[in-house]
Amino acid sequence: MTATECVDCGEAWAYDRVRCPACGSRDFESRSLDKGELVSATVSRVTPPGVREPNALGIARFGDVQVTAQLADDDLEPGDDVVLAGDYELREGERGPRLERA
Amino acid sequence: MRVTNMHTPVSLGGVGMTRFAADAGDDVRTLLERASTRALDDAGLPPTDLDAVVVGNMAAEAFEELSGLHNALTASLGAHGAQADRVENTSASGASAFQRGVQAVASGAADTVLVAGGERMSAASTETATGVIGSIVHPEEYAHGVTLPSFGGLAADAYLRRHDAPYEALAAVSAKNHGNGARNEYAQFQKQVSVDEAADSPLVADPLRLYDCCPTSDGAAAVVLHAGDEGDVVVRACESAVGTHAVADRDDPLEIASVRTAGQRAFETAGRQRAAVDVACIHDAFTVLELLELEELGFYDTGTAWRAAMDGETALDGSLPVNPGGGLKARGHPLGATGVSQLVELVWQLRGEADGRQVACETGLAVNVAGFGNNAVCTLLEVSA
Repeated sequence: MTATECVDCGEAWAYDRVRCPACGSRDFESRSLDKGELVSATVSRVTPPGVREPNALGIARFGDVQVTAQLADDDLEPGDDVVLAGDYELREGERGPRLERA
Repeated sequence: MRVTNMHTPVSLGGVGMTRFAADAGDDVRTLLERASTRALDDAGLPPTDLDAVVVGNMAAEAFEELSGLHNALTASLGAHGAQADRVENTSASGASAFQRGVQAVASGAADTVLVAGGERMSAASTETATGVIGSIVHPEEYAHGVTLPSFGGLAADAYLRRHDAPYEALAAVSAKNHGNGARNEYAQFQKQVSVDEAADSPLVADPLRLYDCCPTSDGAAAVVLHAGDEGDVVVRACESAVGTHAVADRDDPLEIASVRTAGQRAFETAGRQRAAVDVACIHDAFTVLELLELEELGFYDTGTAWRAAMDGETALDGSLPVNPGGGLKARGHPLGATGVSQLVELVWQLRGEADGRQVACETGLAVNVAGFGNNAVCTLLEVSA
């Protein structure tokens, strides 16, 4: 997963959107998410069909961009350094990276 | 900042609701009819006086395979010729419908409006209901199996950690709201829950436990609005705002910008200060949200609402009673009905009709939130001068 940065004003965000939220531009480029810090963590004990149960989740901050993602390691705690990496089954039929210890 | 110009004063002429329940045994059309009939009777108005009917409902198609609720309700009531439509704003559909009604009266487009919110969630399987509610979250967060309770867990984890607060601060909110619900004959849960019981309930999304989370519910609530300020209760403001869709797009997971903005606009429109508010109905889908929203609305400084909850400041006999009807936690949360039921409770409080849970009040505030802060609607009601 990559982040997106506005070419015109430098605003950055994680999730797809059609316009820059700061200046309205449509001129974007992608930017890699390097090392981040876990900000918050939970373990979801009741999960939707096709999702692992329990499901450890966290919000991680990568500079000026934040991401909500599954945790690869249950013992990750807020304050820990993390990377968004690997190829996991996130929910049935959908694969992607989890937050791993950096 | 653009806020509503209340050209014409708007009064609340009548209110009514059904008892919220895990399974009400009737479809949402019937629940809407029942609440609307009670509100019209309370207002002493025949349905033929209605210029407009606005229904708040999130997902009757998905829950019950029903659509066209507003036309069915209007025809059933006999309000022939009224304009009617439905407003969908996920879990804030009720307050958004109310906002449309207020705007119609304030602008002069209608003199008398019925606003009815309702939802029947029990008709669908748990799997279907989870899927409908889960579809609110951003697709990229959805891919990770994120649910609304898990957003609650992430926010609660950050809140307790940052402010060095004990879990019991959340349990105190739950115990208070259950205690209030026990005094409300319309509440889904009418039983006391102690802080210890809440703290011992099963984990749902750490650190949130079962008693930190609102239930799924069936129910409806309705109000009648009319032009003029001769009613018992007047609408001073009803304002809304969107926030970010993805929770991670917020600079801080504890920020709910939609609530902050809607609150600022409502206070500006009403020309009132925070200190004027005597009672508040806050969208406590999760206990931590009651604390975060009270802070975003400016009633408490950041990181201090938990202590106020533990000290009883938000109890019925506290300095700012919050959720006297039990909140979403105990009254229940039939999505499209919730925002209207908050206003029904405020009207009962402002009229002095809230038997067993009455607080001294002249000004009340309600905030109804869509998703995990995707959108918020803030309303200020007052006893008519």
